[in-house]
Amino acid sequence: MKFFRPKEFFSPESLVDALQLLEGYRRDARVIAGGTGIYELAVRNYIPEVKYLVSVMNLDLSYVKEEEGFLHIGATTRLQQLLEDKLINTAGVGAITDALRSIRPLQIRNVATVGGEVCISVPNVDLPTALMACSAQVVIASVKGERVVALDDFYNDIFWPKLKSNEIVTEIRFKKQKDMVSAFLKLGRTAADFNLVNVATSLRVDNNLITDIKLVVGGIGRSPLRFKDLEEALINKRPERELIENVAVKAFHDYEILPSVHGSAEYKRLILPVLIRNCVLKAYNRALGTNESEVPNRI
Amino acid sequence: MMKSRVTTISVNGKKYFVRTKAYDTLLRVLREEVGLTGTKKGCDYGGCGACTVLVNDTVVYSCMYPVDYCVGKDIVTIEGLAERYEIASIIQKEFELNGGFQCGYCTPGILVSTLSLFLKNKNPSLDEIKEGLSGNICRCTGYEGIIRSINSVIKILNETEEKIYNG
Repeated sequence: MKFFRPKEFFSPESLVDALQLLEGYRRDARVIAGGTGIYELAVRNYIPEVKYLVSVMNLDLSYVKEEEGFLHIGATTRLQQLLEDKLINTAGVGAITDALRSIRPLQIRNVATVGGEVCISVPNVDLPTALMACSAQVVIASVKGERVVALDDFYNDIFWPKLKSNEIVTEIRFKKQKDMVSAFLKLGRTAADFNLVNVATSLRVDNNLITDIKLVVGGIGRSPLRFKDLEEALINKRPERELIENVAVKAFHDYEILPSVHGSAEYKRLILPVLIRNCVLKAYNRALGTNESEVPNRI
Repeated sequence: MMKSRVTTISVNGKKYFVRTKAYDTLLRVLREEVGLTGTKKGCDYGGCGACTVLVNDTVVYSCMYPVDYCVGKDIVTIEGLAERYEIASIIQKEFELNGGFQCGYCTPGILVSTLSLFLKNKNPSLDEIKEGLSGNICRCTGYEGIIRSINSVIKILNETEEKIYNG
Protein backbone atom coordinates (compact mmCIF):
# COMPACT_ATOMS: atom_id res chain seq x y z
CA MET A 1 0.00 0.00 0.00
CA LYS A 2 1.30 3.39 -0.93
CA PHE A 3 1.12 5.36 2.24
CA PHE A 4 0.94 9.11 2.64
CA ARG A 5 4.52 10.24 3.28
CA PRO A 6 5.17 13.96 3.45
CA LYS A 7 8.78 15.11 3.15
CA GLU A 8 8.76 17.56 5.99
CA PHE A 9 6.72 18.33 9.08
CA PHE A 10 6.92 21.95 10.15
CA SER A 11 5.95 23.15 13.62
CA PRO A 12 6.13 26.94 13.36
CA GLU A 13 5.82 28.88 16.60
CA SER A 14 4.11 31.98 15.28
CA LEU A 15 1.15 32.58 13.00
CA VAL A 16 3.26 34.77 10.70
CA ASP A 17 5.78 31.97 10.17
CA ALA A 18 3.03 29.45 9.51
CA LEU A 19 1.30 31.70 7.00
CA GLN A 20 4.57 32.43 5.25
CA LEU A 21 5.29 28.70 4.91
CA LEU A 22 1.86 28.18 3.36
CA GLU A 23 2.32 31.20 1.09
CA GLY A 24 5.58 29.70 -0.14
CA TYR A 25 4.52 26.09 -0.63
CA ARG A 26 0.88 26.69 -1.60
CA ARG A 27 -0.68 23.44 -2.84
CA ASP A 28 2.29 21.31 -1.85
CA ALA A 29 1.53 21.98 1.81
CA ARG A 30 -1.38 21.17 4.06
CA VAL A 31 -2.28 22.35 7.53
CA ILE A 32 -2.38 19.72 10.25
CA ALA A 33 -3.97 20.26 13.67
CA GLY A 34 -4.68 17.37 16.07
CA GLY A 35 -3.96 14.81 13.39
CA THR A 36 -6.80 12.34 13.98
CA GLY A 37 -8.75 13.18 10.85
CA ILE A 38 -5.80 13.44 8.50
CA TYR A 39 -4.53 10.03 9.62
CA GLU A 40 -7.82 8.28 8.94
CA LEU A 41 -7.92 9.85 5.50
CA ALA A 42 -4.28 8.99 4.84
CA VAL A 43 -4.80 5.32 5.72
CA ARG A 44 -7.62 5.17 3.21
CA ASN A 45 -5.56 6.88 0.51
CA TYR A 46 -7.88 9.88 0.34
CA ILE A 47 -5.09 12.44 0.53
CA PRO A 48 -3.39 13.57 -2.65
CA GLU A 49 0.36 14.17 -2.92
CA VAL A 50 1.29 16.47 -0.09
CA LYS A 51 4.96 17.31 0.34
CA TYR A 52 4.83 19.41 3.46
CA LEU A 53 2.70 19.41 6.59
CA VAL A 54 2.42 22.63 8.56
CA SER A 55 1.34 22.12 12.14
CA VAL A 56 -0.72 24.82 13.82
CA MET A 57 -0.50 23.31 17.29
CA ASN A 58 2.28 25.63 18.51
CA LEU A 59 0.55 28.87 17.50
CA ASP A 60 -1.12 29.58 20.85
CA LEU A 61 -4.56 29.18 19.32
CA SER A 62 -5.89 27.12 22.19
CA TYR A 63 -8.27 29.27 24.20
CA VAL A 64 -11.90 29.98 25.05
CA LYS A 65 -12.71 33.57 25.90
CA GLU A 66 -15.59 35.97 25.99
CA GLU A 67 -15.38 39.40 24.38
CA GLU A 68 -18.09 41.86 23.32
CA GLY A 69 -20.90 39.35 23.58
CA PHE A 70 -19.02 36.84 21.45
CA LEU A 71 -17.58 33.57 22.62
CA HIS A 72 -14.21 33.03 20.91
CA ILE A 73 -12.85 29.51 20.57
CA GLY A 74 -9.28 29.13 19.36
CA ALA A 75 -8.91 26.77 16.43
CA THR A 76 -6.59 24.35 18.17
CA THR A 77 -8.67 24.01 21.33
CA ARG A 78 -9.02 20.30 21.98
CA LEU A 79 -12.59 19.02 22.10
CA GLN A 80 -12.24 17.72 25.65
CA GLN A 81 -10.72 21.03 26.74
CA LEU A 82 -13.73 22.86 25.29
CA LEU A 83 -16.18 20.44 26.89
CA GLU A 84 -14.61 21.01 30.30
CA ASP A 85 -14.55 24.78 29.89
CA LYS A 86 -16.77 26.82 32.19
CA LEU A 87 -17.63 29.44 29.58
CA ILE A 88 -19.08 27.01 27.07
CA ASN A 89 -21.22 25.36 29.73
CA THR A 90 -22.75 28.66 30.78
CA ALA A 91 -23.10 30.20 27.31
CA GLY A 92 -26.51 28.68 26.67
CA VAL A 93 -25.35 26.70 23.65
CA GLY A 94 -26.70 23.29 24.57
CA ALA A 95 -26.30 22.05 21.01
CA ILE A 96 -22.53 22.47 21.14
CA THR A 97 -22.08 20.71 24.46
CA ASP A 98 -24.46 17.95 23.32
CA ALA A 99 -22.40 17.49 20.17
CA LEU A 100 -19.08 17.51 22.04
CA ARG A 101 -20.36 14.91 24.45
CA SER A 102 -21.51 12.71 21.58
CA ILE A 103 -18.04 12.66 20.00
CA ARG A 104 -16.51 9.54 21.46
CA PRO A 105 -14.17 8.13 22.60
CA LEU A 106 -12.09 10.20 24.99
CA GLN A 107 -8.95 9.25 23.07
CA ILE A 108 -10.27 11.23 20.12
CA ARG A 109 -11.67 14.14 22.16
CA ASN A 110 -8.27 14.55 23.83
CA VAL A 111 -6.53 15.03 20.49
CA ALA A 112 -9.03 16.36 17.92
CA THR A 113 -9.38 20.14 17.68
CA VAL A 114 -12.31 22.44 17.07
CA GLY A 115 -10.70 23.98 13.99
CA GLY A 116 -9.88 20.59 12.55
CA GLU A 117 -13.41 19.37 13.07
CA VAL A 118 -14.72 22.40 11.17
CA CYS A 119 -12.16 22.34 8.34
CA ILE A 120 -12.17 18.63 7.51
CA SER A 121 -15.54 19.08 5.82
CA VAL A 122 -16.80 15.51 6.01
CA PRO A 123 -20.57 14.96 6.32
CA ASN A 124 -20.15 12.57 9.25
CA VAL A 125 -18.61 14.90 11.81
CA ASP A 126 -20.80 16.42 14.49
CA LEU A 127 -19.46 19.73 15.69
CA PRO A 128 -20.10 21.80 12.51
CA THR A 129 -23.80 20.94 12.57
CA ALA A 130 -24.13 22.21 16.12
CA LEU A 131 -21.95 25.26 15.47
CA MET A 132 -24.02 26.15 12.41
CA ALA A 133 -27.23 25.99 14.44
CA CYS A 134 -25.64 28.47 16.84
CA SER A 135 -24.75 30.78 13.89
CA ALA A 136 -21.02 30.45 14.31
CA GLN A 137 -18.47 32.43 12.32
CA VAL A 138 -15.06 31.32 11.12
CA VAL A 139 -12.07 33.64 11.40
CA ILE A 140 -9.53 32.98 8.66
CA ALA A 141 -6.03 34.42 8.50
CA SER A 142 -3.68 34.77 5.55
CA VAL A 143 -0.61 36.85 4.81
CA LYS A 144 -2.89 39.59 3.53
CA GLY A 145 -4.93 39.80 6.70
CA GLU A 146 -8.01 38.43 8.33
CA ARG A 147 -11.49 37.66 7.06
CA VAL A 148 -14.61 36.38 8.77
CA VAL A 149 -17.07 33.99 7.13
CA ALA A 150 -20.34 32.65 8.46
CA LEU A 151 -20.14 28.89 8.88
CA ASP A 152 -23.28 28.65 6.73
CA ASP A 153 -21.20 29.80 3.74
CA PHE A 154 -18.00 27.98 4.63
CA TYR A 155 -18.44 24.71 2.74
CA ASN A 156 -18.13 23.90 -0.95
CA ASP A 157 -18.19 20.12 -0.88
CA ILE A 158 -16.76 17.07 0.87
CA PHE A 159 -13.10 17.69 1.85
CA TRP A 160 -13.47 21.12 0.30
CA PRO A 161 -14.14 24.06 2.59
CA LYS A 162 -13.94 27.58 1.16
CA LEU A 163 -10.38 27.91 2.24
CA LYS A 164 -7.44 28.85 0.01
CA SER A 165 -4.18 26.94 0.24
CA ASN A 166 -2.47 29.88 1.95
CA GLU A 167 -5.08 30.39 4.66
CA ILE A 168 -5.41 29.14 8.23
CA VAL A 169 -8.56 29.09 10.35
CA THR A 170 -7.58 30.73 13.61
CA GLU A 171 -10.83 31.00 15.51
CA ILE A 172 -14.46 29.97 15.67
CA ARG A 173 -16.78 32.44 17.33
CA PHE A 174 -20.46 32.88 17.96
CA LYS A 175 -22.76 35.29 19.74
CA LYS A 176 -23.76 34.27 23.23
CA GLN A 177 -27.35 33.18 22.94
CA LYS A 178 -29.50 34.96 25.45
CA ASP A 179 -33.04 34.13 24.42
CA MET A 180 -32.29 31.17 22.16
CA VAL A 181 -32.09 27.59 23.33
CA SER A 182 -30.40 24.84 21.38
CA ALA A 183 -30.09 21.07 21.24
CA PHE A 184 -28.30 18.43 19.21
CA LEU A 185 -29.04 14.79 18.46
CA LYS A 186 -27.30 12.20 16.35
CA LEU A 187 -27.72 8.65 15.24
CA GLY A 188 -24.74 6.40 14.65
CA ARG A 189 -24.29 2.65 14.51
CA THR A 190 -22.95 2.56 18.06
CA ALA A 191 -22.58 5.14 20.81
CA ALA A 192 -18.93 5.61 19.84
CA ASP A 193 -19.03 6.00 16.09
CA PHE A 194 -19.38 8.58 13.37
CA ASN A 195 -22.93 9.65 12.79
CA LEU A 196 -25.24 8.56 10.01
CA VAL A 197 -27.42 11.60 10.50
CA ASN A 198 -27.28 14.44 12.97
CA VAL A 199 -29.61 17.33 13.73
CA ALA A 200 -29.04 20.55 15.63
CA THR A 201 -31.55 23.27 16.30
CA SER A 202 -31.66 26.55 18.13
CA LEU A 203 -35.00 28.16 18.81
CA ARG A 204 -36.78 30.89 20.73
CA VAL A 205 -40.02 30.23 22.55
CA ASP A 206 -42.58 32.89 23.49
CA ASN A 207 -45.90 31.94 25.06
CA ASN A 208 -45.31 28.28 24.27
CA LEU A 209 -44.92 29.10 20.57
CA ILE A 210 -41.73 28.81 18.56
CA THR A 211 -41.03 32.33 17.35
CA ASP A 212 -37.61 31.80 15.82
CA ILE A 213 -35.88 28.63 14.74
CA LYS A 214 -32.73 27.50 12.96
CA LEU A 215 -32.52 23.86 12.06
CA VAL A 216 -29.42 22.21 10.61
CA VAL A 217 -29.13 18.65 9.36
CA GLY A 218 -25.81 16.89 8.80
CA GLY A 219 -24.94 13.58 7.20
CA ILE A 220 -27.49 13.74 4.40
CA GLY A 221 -25.88 16.35 2.17
CA ARG A 222 -22.32 17.15 1.24
CA SER A 223 -22.10 19.58 4.16
CA PRO A 224 -24.46 20.49 7.04
CA LEU A 225 -27.59 22.06 5.55
CA ARG A 226 -30.38 24.36 6.64
CA PHE A 227 -33.88 23.61 5.46
CA LYS A 228 -35.76 26.91 5.28
CA ASP A 229 -39.13 25.31 4.42
CA LEU A 230 -38.94 23.23 7.53
CA GLU A 231 -38.06 26.22 9.68
CA GLU A 232 -40.87 28.33 8.24
CA ALA A 233 -43.39 25.55 8.76
CA LEU A 234 -42.57 25.44 12.46
CA ILE A 235 -42.63 29.16 13.18
CA ASN A 236 -45.50 30.40 15.35
CA LYS A 237 -46.49 26.84 16.09
CA ARG A 238 -46.63 24.79 19.20
CA PRO A 239 -44.37 21.84 18.40
CA GLU A 240 -46.59 18.77 18.58
CA ARG A 241 -45.00 15.43 17.77
CA GLU A 242 -47.13 14.73 14.69
CA LEU A 243 -46.74 18.24 13.35
CA ILE A 244 -42.94 18.11 13.38
CA GLU A 245 -42.85 14.65 11.85
CA ASN A 246 -45.25 15.58 9.06
CA VAL A 247 -43.36 18.75 8.28
CA ALA A 248 -40.05 16.88 8.25
CA VAL A 249 -41.34 14.11 6.00
CA LYS A 250 -42.55 16.73 3.55
CA ALA A 251 -39.30 18.72 3.67
CA PHE A 252 -37.12 15.75 2.66
CA HIS A 253 -39.55 14.23 0.20
CA ASP A 254 -37.70 15.48 -2.88
CA TYR A 255 -34.27 15.88 -1.42
CA GLU A 256 -31.60 13.58 -2.78
CA ILE A 257 -30.06 12.14 0.35
CA LEU A 258 -26.41 11.10 0.29
CA PRO A 259 -26.15 7.41 1.20
CA SER A 260 -23.21 5.96 3.13
CA VAL A 261 -21.89 2.45 3.76
CA HIS A 262 -23.70 2.25 7.05
CA GLY A 263 -27.01 3.74 6.03
CA SER A 264 -28.84 3.88 2.71
CA ALA A 265 -30.67 6.99 1.56
CA GLU A 266 -34.01 5.25 2.22
CA TYR A 267 -33.04 4.44 5.79
CA LYS A 268 -31.88 7.99 6.43
CA ARG A 269 -35.11 9.33 4.96
CA LEU A 270 -37.11 7.19 7.39
CA ILE A 271 -35.07 7.98 10.44
CA LEU A 272 -34.66 11.72 9.87
CA PRO A 273 -38.18 12.90 10.83
CA VAL A 274 -37.91 11.04 14.13
CA LEU A 275 -34.53 12.55 14.87
CA ILE A 276 -35.75 16.04 13.97
CA ARG A 277 -38.85 15.60 16.12
CA ASN A 278 -36.80 14.50 19.13
CA CYS A 279 -34.26 17.27 18.64
CA VAL A 280 -36.87 20.06 18.36
CA LEU A 281 -38.72 18.70 21.38
CA LYS A 282 -35.51 18.46 23.35
CA ALA A 283 -34.72 22.12 22.65
CA TYR A 284 -38.35 23.12 23.28
CA ASN A 285 -38.41 21.35 26.63
CA ARG A 286 -35.14 23.00 27.49
CA ALA A 287 -36.65 26.39 26.70
CA LEU A 288 -39.64 25.71 28.91
CA GLY A 289 -37.43 24.30 31.61
CA THR A 290 -39.38 21.04 31.71
CA ASN A 291 -37.89 17.63 32.12
CA GLU A 292 -35.58 16.89 29.21
CA SER A 293 -35.61 13.18 29.82
CA GLU A 294 -39.17 12.97 28.48
CA VAL A 295 -37.60 12.94 25.05
CA PRO A 296 -35.45 9.89 24.36
CA ASN A 297 -31.81 10.62 23.60
CA ARG A 298 -31.54 7.74 21.26
CA ILE A 299 -34.11 6.32 18.93
CA MET B 1 14.67 9.73 -0.41
CA MET B 2 12.93 10.30 2.84
CA LYS B 3 14.96 12.36 5.25
CA SER B 4 15.18 10.95 8.74
CA ARG B 5 15.99 12.99 11.77
CA VAL B 6 16.65 12.44 15.45
CA THR B 7 13.87 13.28 17.88
CA THR B 8 14.08 13.28 21.65
CA ILE B 9 11.09 11.81 23.43
CA SER B 10 10.50 11.01 27.06
CA VAL B 11 8.90 7.62 27.64
CA ASN B 12 8.18 6.29 31.13
CA GLY B 13 10.49 8.90 32.61
CA LYS B 14 13.46 8.00 30.39
CA LYS B 15 14.80 10.08 27.52
CA TYR B 16 15.19 8.35 24.18
CA PHE B 17 16.93 9.65 21.09
CA VAL B 18 15.10 8.02 18.22
CA ARG B 19 15.30 8.14 14.45
CA THR B 20 11.99 9.31 12.99
CA LYS B 21 10.60 10.29 9.62
CA ALA B 22 8.37 13.28 8.97
CA TYR B 23 4.85 12.53 10.20
CA ASP B 24 5.81 9.33 11.96
CA THR B 25 3.31 7.97 14.42
CA LEU B 26 4.04 7.56 18.11
CA LEU B 27 3.05 3.89 17.89
CA ARG B 28 5.67 3.01 15.28
CA VAL B 29 8.36 4.89 17.14
CA LEU B 30 7.48 3.23 20.44
CA ARG B 31 7.45 -0.26 18.99
CA GLU B 32 10.20 -0.13 16.39
CA GLU B 33 12.62 2.56 17.58
CA VAL B 34 12.26 2.60 21.35
CA GLY B 35 11.57 -1.14 21.47
CA LEU B 36 8.62 -1.06 23.85
CA THR B 37 6.25 -3.55 22.23
CA GLY B 38 3.68 -3.67 25.02
CA THR B 39 1.64 -1.06 23.16
CA LYS B 40 -0.16 -2.98 20.42
CA LYS B 41 -1.10 -2.18 16.87
CA GLY B 42 -4.68 -3.16 16.22
CA CYS B 43 -6.77 -1.43 13.61
CA ASP B 44 -4.21 1.34 13.01
CA TYR B 45 -6.72 4.11 12.50
CA GLY B 46 -8.24 5.02 15.81
CA GLY B 47 -10.98 2.50 16.34
CA CYS B 48 -9.83 -0.32 18.57
CA GLY B 49 -7.82 1.26 21.37
CA ALA B 50 -5.07 -1.38 21.58
CA CYS B 51 -2.51 1.40 21.05
CA THR B 52 -3.76 3.66 23.86
CA VAL B 53 -0.98 5.42 25.79
CA LEU B 54 -0.87 8.37 28.18
CA VAL B 55 0.50 11.68 26.95
CA ASN B 56 0.68 14.23 29.77
CA ASP B 57 -1.78 12.08 31.76
CA THR B 58 -4.45 12.05 29.04
CA VAL B 59 -5.27 9.02 26.92
CA VAL B 60 -4.53 9.18 23.21
CA TYR B 61 -4.45 6.71 20.34
CA SER B 62 -0.73 6.43 19.65
CA CYS B 63 -1.39 4.97 16.19
CA MET B 64 -2.60 8.34 14.94
CA TYR B 65 -0.60 10.67 17.16
CA PRO B 66 2.23 12.37 15.25
CA VAL B 67 5.53 11.84 17.03
CA ASP B 68 6.32 15.48 16.26
CA TYR B 69 3.80 16.47 18.94
CA CYS B 70 5.52 14.37 21.59
CA VAL B 71 8.59 16.56 22.00
CA GLY B 72 8.68 17.88 25.54
CA LYS B 73 5.72 15.77 26.60
CA ASP B 74 5.57 13.01 29.14
CA ILE B 75 4.58 9.67 27.61
CA VAL B 76 3.63 6.68 29.74
CA THR B 77 3.09 3.27 28.15
CA ILE B 78 1.90 0.02 29.68
CA GLU B 79 5.51 -0.85 30.58
CA GLY B 80 5.88 2.14 32.87
CA LEU B 81 2.37 2.25 34.26
CA ALA B 82 2.90 0.41 37.55
CA GLU B 83 6.11 2.29 38.22
CA ARG B 84 4.38 5.65 37.85
CA TYR B 85 0.99 5.02 39.41
CA GLU B 86 0.47 2.91 42.52
CA ILE B 87 -3.09 2.10 41.58
CA ALA B 88 -1.95 0.40 38.34
CA SER B 89 -0.78 -2.69 40.24
CA ILE B 90 -4.17 -3.05 41.89
CA ILE B 91 -5.88 -2.75 38.50
CA GLN B 92 -3.59 -5.37 36.96
CA LYS B 93 -4.13 -7.78 39.85
CA GLU B 94 -7.91 -7.42 39.70
CA PHE B 95 -7.97 -7.95 35.94
CA GLU B 96 -6.05 -11.15 36.51
CA LEU B 97 -8.35 -12.38 39.28
CA ASN B 98 -11.67 -11.44 37.68
CA GLY B 99 -11.19 -12.65 34.13
CA GLY B 100 -10.65 -9.16 32.74
CA PHE B 101 -8.93 -10.56 29.65
CA GLN B 102 -8.67 -13.69 27.56
CA CYS B 103 -6.31 -13.39 24.60
CA GLY B 104 -4.82 -10.23 26.07
CA TYR B 105 -4.24 -8.26 22.90
CA CYS B 106 -6.51 -5.38 23.94
CA THR B 107 -5.39 -5.50 27.58
CA PRO B 108 -2.52 -2.96 27.49
CA GLY B 109 -4.90 -0.37 26.02
CA ILE B 110 -7.71 -1.26 28.40
CA LEU B 111 -5.42 -1.00 31.42
CA VAL B 112 -4.22 2.44 30.32
CA SER B 113 -7.81 3.62 29.76
CA THR B 114 -8.90 2.19 33.11
CA LEU B 115 -6.06 3.96 34.85
CA SER B 116 -6.98 7.25 33.20
CA LEU B 117 -10.54 6.71 34.38
CA PHE B 118 -9.34 6.33 37.96
CA LEU B 119 -7.06 9.35 37.71
CA LYS B 120 -10.14 11.52 37.22
CA ASN B 121 -12.66 9.68 39.34
CA LYS B 122 -12.03 7.24 42.16
CA ASN B 123 -15.61 5.98 42.22
CA PRO B 124 -16.94 5.77 38.64
CA SER B 125 -20.50 4.64 37.98
CA LEU B 126 -21.31 1.95 35.41
CA ASP B 127 -22.09 4.63 32.83
CA GLU B 128 -18.82 6.38 33.53
CA ILE B 129 -16.92 3.10 33.18
CA LYS B 130 -18.59 2.47 29.83
CA GLU B 131 -17.87 6.03 28.69
CA GLY B 132 -14.25 5.74 29.82
CA LEU B 133 -13.74 2.47 27.95
CA SER B 134 -15.77 3.38 24.86
CA GLY B 135 -12.54 3.77 22.91
CA ASN B 136 -11.32 0.24 23.54
CA ILE B 137 -12.61 -2.84 21.80
CA CYS B 138 -12.34 -6.32 23.30
CA ARG B 139 -13.49 -9.22 21.17
CA CYS B 140 -13.09 -11.99 23.80
CA THR B 141 -14.59 -11.07 27.14
CA GLY B 142 -17.84 -9.44 26.09
CA TYR B 143 -16.75 -6.69 28.52
CA GLU B 144 -18.43 -8.39 31.48
CA GLY B 145 -15.12 -9.55 32.93
CA ILE B 146 -13.61 -6.12 32.40
CA ILE B 147 -16.45 -4.33 34.18
CA ARG B 148 -16.31 -6.91 36.98
CA SER B 149 -12.58 -6.24 37.37
CA ILE B 150 -13.07 -2.48 37.50
CA ASN B 151 -15.87 -2.79 40.05
CA SER B 152 -13.57 -4.94 42.12
CA VAL B 153 -10.89 -2.21 41.96
CA ILE B 154 -13.46 0.35 43.13
CA LYS B 155 -14.35 -1.91 46.05
CA ILE B 156 -10.71 -2.28 47.08
CA LEU B 157 -10.12 1.48 46.83
CA ASN B 158 -13.15 2.21 49.00
CA GLU B 159 -12.04 -0.35 51.59
CA THR B 160 -8.54 1.11 51.82
CA GLU B 161 -10.01 4.57 52.14
CA GLU B 162 -12.22 3.40 55.00
CA LYS B 163 -9.22 1.83 56.69
CA ILE B 164 -7.30 5.09 56.50
CA TYR B 165 -10.36 6.99 57.69
CA ASN B 166 -10.92 4.68 60.68
CA GLY B 167 -7.24 4.71 61.55
